[in-house]
Amino acid sequence: MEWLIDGVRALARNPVYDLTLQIVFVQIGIVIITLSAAFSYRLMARASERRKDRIRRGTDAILSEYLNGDGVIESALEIADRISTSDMLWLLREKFRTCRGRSMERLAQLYVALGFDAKDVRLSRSWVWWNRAAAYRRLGLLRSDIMERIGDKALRDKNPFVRIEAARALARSGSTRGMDVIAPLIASPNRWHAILMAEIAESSGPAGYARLRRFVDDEERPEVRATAIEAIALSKDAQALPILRRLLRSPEKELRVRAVKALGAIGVPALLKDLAALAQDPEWEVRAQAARTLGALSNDSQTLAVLRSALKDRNWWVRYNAARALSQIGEEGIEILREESQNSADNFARDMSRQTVEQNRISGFLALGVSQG
Amino acid sequence: MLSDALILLNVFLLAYFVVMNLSYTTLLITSFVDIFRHKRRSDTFDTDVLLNSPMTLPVSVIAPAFNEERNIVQSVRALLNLTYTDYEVIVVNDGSTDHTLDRLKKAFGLEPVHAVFRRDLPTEQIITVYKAPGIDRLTVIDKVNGGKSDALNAGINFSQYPLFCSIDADTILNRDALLKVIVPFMEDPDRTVAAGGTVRVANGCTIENGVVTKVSLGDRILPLFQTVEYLRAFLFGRIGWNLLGGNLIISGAFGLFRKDAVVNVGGYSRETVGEDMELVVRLHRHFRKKRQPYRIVFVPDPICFTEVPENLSDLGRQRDRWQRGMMESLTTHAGMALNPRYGVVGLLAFPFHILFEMLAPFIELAGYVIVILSFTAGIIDTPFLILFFMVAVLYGVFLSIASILLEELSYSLYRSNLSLVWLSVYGFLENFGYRQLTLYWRLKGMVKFLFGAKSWGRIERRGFGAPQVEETP
Repeated sequence: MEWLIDGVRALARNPVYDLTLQIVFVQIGIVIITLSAAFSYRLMARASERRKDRIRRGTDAILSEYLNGDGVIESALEIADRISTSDMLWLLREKFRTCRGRSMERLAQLYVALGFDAKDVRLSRSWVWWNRAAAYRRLGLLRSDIMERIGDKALRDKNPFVRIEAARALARSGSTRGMDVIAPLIASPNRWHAILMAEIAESSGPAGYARLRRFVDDEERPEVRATAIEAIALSKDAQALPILRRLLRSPEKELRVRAVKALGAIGVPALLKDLAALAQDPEWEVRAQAARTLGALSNDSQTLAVLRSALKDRNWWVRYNAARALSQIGEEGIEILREESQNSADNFARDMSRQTVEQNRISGFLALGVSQG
Repeated sequence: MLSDALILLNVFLLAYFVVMNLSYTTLLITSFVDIFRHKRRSDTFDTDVLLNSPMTLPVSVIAPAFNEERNIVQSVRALLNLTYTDYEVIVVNDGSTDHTLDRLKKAFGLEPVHAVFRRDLPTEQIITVYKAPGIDRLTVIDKVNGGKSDALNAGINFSQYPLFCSIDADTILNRDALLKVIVPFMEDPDRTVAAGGTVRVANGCTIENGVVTKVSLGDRILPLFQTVEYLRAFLFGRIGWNLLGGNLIISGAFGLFRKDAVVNVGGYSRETVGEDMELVVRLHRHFRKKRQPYRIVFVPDPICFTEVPENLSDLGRQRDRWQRGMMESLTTHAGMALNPRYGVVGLLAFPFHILFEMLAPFIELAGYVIVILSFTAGIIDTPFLILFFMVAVLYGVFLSIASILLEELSYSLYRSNLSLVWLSVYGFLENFGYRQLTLYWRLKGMVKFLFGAKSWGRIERRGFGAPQVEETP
């Protein structure tokens, strides 16, 4: 014990020890605080989960009945008398994630009847961007005219995610205003943006599609045009065919590839001659994509001949796509592959055909999932 | 004279200790910032959009397998049931000497096919390629043994999609893991070249039909220590570097890569036992050197589970290999260190990894020796020795507890309250014995590296069921 007492005495005398001892105490304090934070957070989170579960169980039957169209709004409003406003707000906001179609309309009626839309308007002024984004998203789902009033301000938000949500919300109430505002955002390779742009165009109805076509036609920025073509593909807008036809002759490879892809996505067996001509494109990516799209759209003799010829292409991916496209066409395509695998003078065509015939025999169906080219 | 030298060494050690801890604290703070930012962003977007969109990029999942007979069928079934739109699964049997291939043949009715593929990367000879009736997305490649890197390169040659996901055959991906790890590529497909997800410990978890149905800690001591380590490594180490743009590691157990970028740099290197880190460092080097914009990111929410060693000898071999792998990667590309041309990677990440990861075992050992010598020479006394030890231990404990807090605030996978207690206890206990053991294994790795050893060592796996023994070359 003597060494310990000496040690403590030494500690009391030496300033370095004193400092180190203080560091130790501070560290112990920090460890205890961090540990307490972890445990407190855990306990609070679990308590909150249990409470939410209780509320869900207690209200689910009435709320579901109302949302499914079997109950009346009065019975749903009665829930608000039984639980606190904040719980009701949480409950309904949670439903926004799952409700669709008619249920969403009924949810919106209930939400507005309880005056929660006003809370979202207030939330749209929050300094936290994700609160603003969530508020605009819900206001859009409500399809109320509130967005028309606050839409301009929302579209000027400093955060791009908020601007996108505002544009989506505006589109849901039939306005294409948002599309122009978010166009600079869309001028990026971000694939989310094409998805969002397609969604916004779809929500906006015919005006949205028309705006999308104008982006492809008039826009100078190639990035916006490229994204708009992707969005047209997602929207399957058949009215865009004349524009896509022009793009098949675009000097820019990327636009040609995207136009061919869009034609495949729209799925109308039109412009087959133009597509077949692209089988001779100088860029392999265009040829590969054309083979893929031709296989998806047509099984006529001209297509089969083009794909048979593509089996001998100098690029591996073109041959691969052509073989897969032939196998997807069905028996006629498989027959060509069989012939090529046995008789072709071209080694590459023979090899690729044989592989596809064998794989097709085993797997039954070969997906055209090749995105290279 | 000796005493002066010892004093100088003590000052150096103290400075090293302070700078290292300050660096870790900075990483910890950036982790808290980044994890919240990431969580908020992922809450804002609906991944269902990705699931239903034809715009979602297709992925080739490559699983190299060497003597994985115990887990392989379950793992492949799990891979075939991922929640994702368009993907293929390529299992590369790297010359297994057990029944890995037979199990696959029997389970999926594999049939040999004539295969045409692009030889973008040189590999050992391909023996046979198999397809499964009715399962177009599954391809099994049987090849001559060439190591994990070689098997991955073979998988890349056979892959048909522009992105490939490398996973270990004994890794279980959460069903939505691909859907989450793809997000950086969707957001920025031109610049993103690699993305990694979080690896968690599978030991102790309940696994049914290749799906982790319950995440728990289990009752084995070594996996518990490693669980704390994995939390620390993934929740604050990698996330921290993410914000700074200096991530040097994408775990071999689960990483998504842009194929053209990997092929351009020559694929996985066969000359290292740490092929995952070496590839990432090479990608950094390639893009920085060419001054091309790129990003390599760590995404915390795609999660996979991996089985960790349960006995000391296996754990020792693994740590020894990790140490060698890191040393190989860092020394091969040593020219990047402190080179402004390589930006954050050269000026921050490289010096950090060299000083506080690669050389840490040596400096820690030197620290023990110098402290003992100083104590013997009367330069430091017992109270100071105890105090300094307490400071070091408490800082380690703080990092572990902070990682547990990060886990609670973000994903909270370990649902029972008791698991939180155990994690905290093991975060404390690891400083007494476990840490010193890993130090010993890492030192062994350092020595082996200096003598040019390349072996992966023998690994014993229990499997997701009963125990088994495997041999690796």
